[in-house]
Amino acid sequence: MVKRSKSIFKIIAAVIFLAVIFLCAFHEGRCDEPREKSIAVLLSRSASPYAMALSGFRSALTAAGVKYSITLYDLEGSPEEGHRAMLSIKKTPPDLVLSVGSTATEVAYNEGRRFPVIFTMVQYPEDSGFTRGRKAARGNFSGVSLDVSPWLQFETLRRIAPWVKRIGVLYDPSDTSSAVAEARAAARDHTVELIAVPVYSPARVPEVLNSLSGRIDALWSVADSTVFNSKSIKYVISFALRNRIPFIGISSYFVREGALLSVSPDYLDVGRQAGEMAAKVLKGAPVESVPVARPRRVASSINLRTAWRIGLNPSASELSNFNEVLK
Amino acid sequence: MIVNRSFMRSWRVGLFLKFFLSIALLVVFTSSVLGYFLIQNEIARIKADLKQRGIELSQNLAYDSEYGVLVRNERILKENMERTMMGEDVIYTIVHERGGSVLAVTEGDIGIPIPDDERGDIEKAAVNAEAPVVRFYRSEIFDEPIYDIAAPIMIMREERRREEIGFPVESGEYMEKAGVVRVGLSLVRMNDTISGLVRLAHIVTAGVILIGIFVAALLVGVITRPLRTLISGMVKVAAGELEQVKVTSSDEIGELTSAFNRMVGEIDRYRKGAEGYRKTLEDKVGERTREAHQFKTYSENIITAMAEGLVAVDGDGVIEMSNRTLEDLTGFSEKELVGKRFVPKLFPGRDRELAIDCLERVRKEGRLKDVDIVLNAKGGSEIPVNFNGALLKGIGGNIQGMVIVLHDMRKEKEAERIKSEFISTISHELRTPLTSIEGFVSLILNKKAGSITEKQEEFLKTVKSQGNHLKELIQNLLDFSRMVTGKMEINKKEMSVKDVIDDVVKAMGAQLAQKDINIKVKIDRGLPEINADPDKIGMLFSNILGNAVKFTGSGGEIKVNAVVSGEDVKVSVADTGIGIARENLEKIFERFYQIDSSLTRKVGGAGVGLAIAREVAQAHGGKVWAESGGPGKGTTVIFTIPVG
Repeated sequence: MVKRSKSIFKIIAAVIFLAVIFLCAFHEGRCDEPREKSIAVLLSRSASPYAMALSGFRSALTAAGVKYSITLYDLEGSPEEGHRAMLSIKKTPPDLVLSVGSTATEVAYNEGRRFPVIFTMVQYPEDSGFTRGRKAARGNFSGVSLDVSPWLQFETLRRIAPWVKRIGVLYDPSDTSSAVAEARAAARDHTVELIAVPVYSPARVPEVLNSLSGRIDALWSVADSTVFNSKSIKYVISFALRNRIPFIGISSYFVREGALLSVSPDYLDVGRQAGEMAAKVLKGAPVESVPVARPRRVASSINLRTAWRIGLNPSASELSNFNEVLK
Repeated sequence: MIVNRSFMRSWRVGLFLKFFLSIALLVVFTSSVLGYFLIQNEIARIKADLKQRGIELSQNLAYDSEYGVLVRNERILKENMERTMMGEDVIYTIVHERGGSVLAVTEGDIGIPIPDDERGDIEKAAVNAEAPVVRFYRSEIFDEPIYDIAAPIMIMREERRREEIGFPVESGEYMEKAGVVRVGLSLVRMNDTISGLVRLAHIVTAGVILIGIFVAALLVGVITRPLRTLISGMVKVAAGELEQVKVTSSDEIGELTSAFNRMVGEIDRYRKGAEGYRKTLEDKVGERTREAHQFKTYSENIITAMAEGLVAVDGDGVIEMSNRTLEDLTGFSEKELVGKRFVPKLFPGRDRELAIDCLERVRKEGRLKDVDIVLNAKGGSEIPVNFNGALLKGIGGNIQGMVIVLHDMRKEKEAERIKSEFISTISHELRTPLTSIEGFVSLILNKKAGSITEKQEEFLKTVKSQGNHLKELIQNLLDFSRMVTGKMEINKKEMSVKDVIDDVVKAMGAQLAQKDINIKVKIDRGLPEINADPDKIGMLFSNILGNAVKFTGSGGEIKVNAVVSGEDVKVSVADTGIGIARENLEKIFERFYQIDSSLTRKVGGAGVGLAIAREVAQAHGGKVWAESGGPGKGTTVIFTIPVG
């Protein structure tokens, strides 16, 4: 009787052992399958450049072989909406947060730093405190800025207007001082003097701008929200046209409005850059190890009418360097 | 014709004036109202245009001043304001910032001519404007009307991120009032335009009115001319001159004139036709009148020639007409009869009730024949007449009255009286020798004159029997004669009908036995005595029973029954005799009536028995009548006598 019970005990023990082995083997097999990553996307607003960037982000993730699912939060330009979105995100924590635009990035920075955050479509993130420096990420926070190198902009200008020696710029030191500082260095490289005039109020823009009249050969723009609004853009462009000086706009939008040229990011590629960074993070790389990037691809535009009006007559070979020539 | 011409003149003036004044007033009214409203509309439009232009100018300036206000740059503002000043009627422009302080002012030759006392209000209203506001005022110095038009300067506030500066976004902007622009518009030029317009409108309206009146006069003349012609024709027609009017137009008036001409033609045709009809009618009326006159004369002749008196009364019994015969009969003239009531006039005496009854029967039954009645002639003398009446009905069946024919019965009555007296005399003269004959025959049969042979005795008994029959016949004739001549006296007293019946049955026992007729008498136990003449009642019953015995064959049966019937005693005598046809049931009570049969001829008789019975019964207020199932089915004769 005792022998029989001992043999039954052995059989049961053997079955349990085999079951454990089987379950472990199965578990290991499952672990080999790549898990779908959840990504929360905070979109500042539904503007076309943001949509292009998001599209590039998706394509980069797919190219990197990352299986992912995206939950999209459109903040419609409202930080309050961003706060509500973050409350929802915190309930079901994602593997990654992508912030598109400054509003979304600010919300993510303030409320979502415990998640890995990749930002994109942000001007001068360093000035906003999102990064430690031009390239260094801050903790769980990294991404791709929209900052196009001033050096590249000046280089583009100098190719069609080599006589430019003094470039003027209006800026609000509290907003874009780092950008101006970088521009000064770039100007020096091009042996050009950058006359940067600080402006602390939009009301002062005409006055300050008029003070530059005759003192500069060209006007450069920095994405400063104190200097530029929908009205002042036209005024600044009018000033440049009146004084017959080249005006480097922030984007092709400025060129269409009358600026001479612009060197602006390729938004789709900016999105791709962010996607590639996200893929690294999702595959296990710490965010802090992923450096902040600038747009690697830019698009240049020139307004031929403006060029003619200010006395420029760029040759065909010069024009061929521009991605877009407006006539 | 003078009257007609004056009428036409007054009509012509009246209608022309009415038409003309109506149309002229309409033209004046319409032109004035239309002109007024057009002018008002145009003035309102000019004012609205100016206001609208001012609003557009101020709004454009507000739009252009957006940046200038934002940067508080007077030079930028004035660039736009000077451009606005170049617009027509603009005399000043002012830009206020949101708090109301003036940022920039441009003004023309007369500056900003707002009166000092209004300046504050206007400025306050302008600064507070959230939408374009138009204020009107008048410059005291220049006496210049001015619109002060204020429009808010709305700035698009942007909360734009740095990166968004490079590309336009769909949202993130809102409008904020940053100040106000004011544009002063002079109304002098507009008022000059309006004054010129009003002058032009007055001239045009006056011209339209004058032309309208002229056209109205022409139009009225054209319309009324054919009407005048038509009216002239109508006036002639009214005066009896059926003349056609010349048709001068093919419009409605022309159609009216044509219709009038057709009407005149129709009237002319009808007039001629009517004259023909009138003549024919007159001829026919004359003919009918003559015929009626002839018929009347004919009728009057007939009525006059009638042997009977004729009187026509209306529904109330008032005499309307009488003939000569009636006047001769009554002694009343036509004048004395016509209009008087028929009964009181002609029957005031003993037959008054009967006359009333006759009229009532005529009214009810339609006609009445052969009623003997006594009228009272003028002076009261009684005249027996035979009354015949018929109802006169109109075409619709309504009663118009009665016509009564009164036949003078005096001759007949006299002849009857003479005949009765003759019969009485003859009967009396015959009965006297018959009594002698009967007495002597009885003596011989009683052998008072010696013995006689059996043959002689048989012959004598026949003589006696026939004598008795002759005596009875004579007695009946005498009774009848007395009745006819009114000599029958009724001596009423309390009497027993039963006794009478028993006596008569007993008296006829021999005849009943001879014909082997079984008689059954049944008298009601409670039969009362009646107030009557026993002899006459006996005569009545004897005649009836004798008649039954006569016409009942051997072995027959007679039943006598006496009962009380209401207020009367009713006695019936029913036999099993020859019977009577229905149509003869009444005739048997006529005098001398004999049923034409062999049996009648065999039994003989004068034919007055039942006539006497009826006279006796009527003399006592009773009635007699006969009932029969027809020939061969026996006869029942019944009489009633009042108990009282």
